[in-house]
Amino acid sequence: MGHAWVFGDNVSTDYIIPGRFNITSDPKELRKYAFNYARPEFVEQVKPGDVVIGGKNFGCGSSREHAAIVLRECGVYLVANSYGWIFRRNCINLGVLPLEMAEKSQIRDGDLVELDMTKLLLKDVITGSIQRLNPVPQFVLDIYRSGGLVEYLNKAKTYSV
Amino acid sequence: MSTVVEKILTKKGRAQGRLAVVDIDYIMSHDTTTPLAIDAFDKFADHMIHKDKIVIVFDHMVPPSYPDAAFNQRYMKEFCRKYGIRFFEGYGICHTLMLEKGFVKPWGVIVGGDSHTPVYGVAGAVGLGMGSTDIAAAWRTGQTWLEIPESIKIEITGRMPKGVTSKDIALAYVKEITLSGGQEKALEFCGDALKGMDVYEKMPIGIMAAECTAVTEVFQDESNDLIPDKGVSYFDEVSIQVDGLEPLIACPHSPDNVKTVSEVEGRDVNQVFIGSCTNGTIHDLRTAARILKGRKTNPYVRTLVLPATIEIYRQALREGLIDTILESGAMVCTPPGCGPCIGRHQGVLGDYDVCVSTSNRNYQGRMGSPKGEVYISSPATAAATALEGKIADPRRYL
Repeated sequence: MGHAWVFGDNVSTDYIIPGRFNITSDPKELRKYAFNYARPEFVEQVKPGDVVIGGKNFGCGSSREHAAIVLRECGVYLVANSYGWIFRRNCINLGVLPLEMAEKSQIRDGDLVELDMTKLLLKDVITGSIQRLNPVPQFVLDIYRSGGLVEYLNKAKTYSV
Repeated sequence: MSTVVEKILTKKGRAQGRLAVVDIDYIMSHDTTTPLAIDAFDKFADHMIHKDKIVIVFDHMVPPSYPDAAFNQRYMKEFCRKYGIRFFEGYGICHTLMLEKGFVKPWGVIVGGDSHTPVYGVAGAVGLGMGSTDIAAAWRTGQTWLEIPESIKIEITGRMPKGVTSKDIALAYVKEITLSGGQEKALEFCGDALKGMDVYEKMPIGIMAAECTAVTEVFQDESNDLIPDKGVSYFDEVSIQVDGLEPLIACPHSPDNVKTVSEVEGRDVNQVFIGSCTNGTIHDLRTAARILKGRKTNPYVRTLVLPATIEIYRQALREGLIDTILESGAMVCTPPGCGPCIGRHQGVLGDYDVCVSTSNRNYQGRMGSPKGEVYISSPATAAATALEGKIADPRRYL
């Protein structure tokens, strides 16, 4: 169980971490700037197990992997209607599962939520509303379960398609 | 029956349904995305590397303005030295340089650690923008995986009116398709308005595919057999008529918030930036110089001009364009690079600054302070705005 951080459509990677902070590769340093302009309280208040909920096209824009790194460092789950193509790959490659839902989220910002990964359900514990999550494609699951793309390739040696 | 993107990707790989593994011709990355790619590469169990496919460009902060960036750039050079990898420092912006140096060929597949990599479609290649770990995996395997995207056809027809440029065409289709309209899709451009444009003039159109979150884009091209099968079905078809097109401008804080320049004319501005991978070519410098010639930029506007590559800069010197631009009161910044577009150096915005920029995206905080505002326009509109100190229609200066 964790708290919901609800965002709208087209949240760009510039919004997740502005470009001028991407001059270091230190994950702990980068984490300080998560949603720096948009929600300055995020970094102080976010806890591992919280769920970041996006609308459509979450993580559009710049290819900076720093955006996926800061979310991994915060220890949050990710659920959105859809993702920017590059950002979605970056998450998978770093072992963060970009979960998707077809319906527009009814979950309220700040509410306590429960994520059931086996039944693929996200529940707002306060209002009782339930979001159904899409099944994750097998190839994506294979990379995720290995712990990321590097770990997948270390095991599989090559892409198995 | 296949689209052009399907043809290129299936020729270069093996597919199971839409899931494909493709061979890569070149792997490009720059000083923002390479350090993390090296970190990822170091975690591979063995360090086999496709070094001849690798191109590394220092362009996002050249020379570095912060100790952390300087450290990362030395880290990159040590990596290049260790594996004998080619790199370019201070030669220009990665995408323009990739085209200029001949790395981009029809039917090629190039992955790049930069979201604007789809631009290689201007020369008939499939460019795929990726993050650092994907880049490291490409260095290691020479391949990548993807779901082959369906295409949206964008037909651009007619004759461009005076004062309208290829950037205005780009803004016109971004408005039509919107920020999320290209998700999981490729864009394929065709139509008689594109005939006679060279790859550099096509660049704004190719670059802005990223602003629709498209996977890639390509310009259909009969001379290289890059044409779809007859009767192929597209995910969607969009048609842009350029005859009646006016100068356009993307307003804060989204590249698809596009209006005509006449709708926002008169808005006070304190910075103008002409440059970036989107509009830093010789065509763009000529356009700017034509408007600035014999005139003075408004003293309350910081006007910055950045040629995209050293070759473009030298050509502009030979043509007297740099002299014309300097004479007008604008600043010409070198070495060439991404500079102000990413809000890192060479002209960042402060609180309440308003900038007209020829770059590609204007998300809140993109060019510096989140309280700043960025308008995205053509170099013609930007130059006219520099003269007036207010958003201005370029047609009265042409």
